[in-house]
Amino acid sequence: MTAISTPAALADTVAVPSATQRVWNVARLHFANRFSMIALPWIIIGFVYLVNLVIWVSIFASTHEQLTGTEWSGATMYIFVYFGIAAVQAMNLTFRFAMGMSATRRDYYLGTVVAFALQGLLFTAVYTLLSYIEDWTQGYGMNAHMFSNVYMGSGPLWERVFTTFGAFMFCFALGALAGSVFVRWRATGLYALGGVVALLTVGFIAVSTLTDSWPAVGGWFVEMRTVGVVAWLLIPMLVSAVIGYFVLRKAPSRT
Amino acid sequence: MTDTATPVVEVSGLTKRFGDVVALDDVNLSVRPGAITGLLGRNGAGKTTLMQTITGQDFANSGEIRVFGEHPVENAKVLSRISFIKEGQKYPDEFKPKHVFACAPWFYENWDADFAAQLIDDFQLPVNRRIKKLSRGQLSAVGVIVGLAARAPLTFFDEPYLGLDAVARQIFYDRLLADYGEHPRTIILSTHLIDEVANMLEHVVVIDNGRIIMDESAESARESATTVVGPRSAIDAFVAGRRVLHREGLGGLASVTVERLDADERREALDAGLELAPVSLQQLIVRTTNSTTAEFGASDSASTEKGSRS
Repeated sequence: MTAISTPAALADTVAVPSATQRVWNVARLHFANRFSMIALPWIIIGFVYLVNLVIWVSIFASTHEQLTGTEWSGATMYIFVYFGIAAVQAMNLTFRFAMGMSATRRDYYLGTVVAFALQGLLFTAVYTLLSYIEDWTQGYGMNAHMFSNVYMGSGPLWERVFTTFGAFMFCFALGALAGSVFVRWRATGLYALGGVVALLTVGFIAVSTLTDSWPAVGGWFVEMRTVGVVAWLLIPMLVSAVIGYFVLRKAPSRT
Repeated sequence: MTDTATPVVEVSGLTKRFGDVVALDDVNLSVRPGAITGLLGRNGAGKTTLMQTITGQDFANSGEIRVFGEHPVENAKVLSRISFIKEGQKYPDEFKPKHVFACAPWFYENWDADFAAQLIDDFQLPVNRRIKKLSRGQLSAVGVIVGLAARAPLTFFDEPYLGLDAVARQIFYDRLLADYGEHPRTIILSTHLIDEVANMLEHVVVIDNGRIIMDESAESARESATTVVGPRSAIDAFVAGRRVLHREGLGGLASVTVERLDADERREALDAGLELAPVSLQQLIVRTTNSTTAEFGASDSASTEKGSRS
């Protein structure tokens, strides 16, 4: 065992970064180009906000009355959908790049989760702050609400933070699952995944209809409020995230 | 384990199938450390698939792979010592070369930023242009720069210079050799431009239809065949009973490529008034891959299918 010039010794001249470091490296990779990860989501939020603002002001200017019903605004939902789709795209492109940089699939997946959790924290912080600004300014003096909507931007601080962050991570987990499926089985896999989701949805509708339990379903949502719904969504979120991990572990990176 | 030339890469019985296409067929191979090995073969012969399975980018159907003595798949210890530069590398949308060079040091411990900067200069690469907008040659330069400046103990270049002009290719060869001299490492270079790289290669592996048909030092590979030139009748007498790799004739003259001749046989040929000429690596590979294709009767449809995939 004279290990002096064995390849093991040769290779040992290169230090292997710790697992934490490797995961962090992948997370950083997602932020290497700040435009798509940081600038673009805010441009979209800003645009949605602008469109709402124009509508609010034009109504307010013509009626000179406080707006009604804007607290039911679902405008911010676009952002959640956008992040879900962005997760799929990010995984498709950064996966093969990270593999080209000799990252393991494990480190890639965990690093991606870290990157999106950071993104979610940043998003939640600003979103919550904006909801309070709308509260403090009485909806910009017009009773206009976009961020201080009844779903996520009302109630005590912890509820706002929890619902926003939870909903964000739920969208990301679904996106990560879809991204992993796409990376591994390409479009065929996405069709199959879409099929499974459609079957589950149709099954739920069928069961609810056949058992005449729609009032109970509606009542459940009302009773749970967003906080409760998001808390329940943590289960499918975890399931998706775990399945996504195992799907990705066997995904080839071909050119 | 006392052997100083313990292989960096050891592959045995490696088989990889895509549907009913066998891309790698029971491949056995060992790559010795500290050398530049050429992995040569036709389009769709299995070069890329072999490198992808060795680097854990794709999964083998059966067989054993050891890199630095360990299984490479999902093995950070092994993978962090590997740099695999491939022709079809994908980059995230909106990425510019500067983003790639910013990420690379996180993944390659030996990354030399000064060397990278010098290479960017050498290849006149616009680092601030979106990668999607780069020319094919500039895109190749991004990969070449990463592969060189990473100084990974085991570096794969898979057709690294598609679209690079002759000048840029020469820069690549020069920088590669100079840096390899200063920082010895194991390099596996896959290319079609065999003549251009022939002088750099210390070892040659030829793959054809998913099988390794040659695995020897560049020197012994070049000696593995000789072209014999002379009058047709003398040639016919000399080659009778030998395996002929190639034959061409002009009038009464014939030129025949035969397998390795030992000293006695060489003398015999010279005594018969025949001329002996060396065979270039490229010619040798063209001849050997042609003859095996004929021998195995590989169907054209299978090879075109594979060719279009790679």
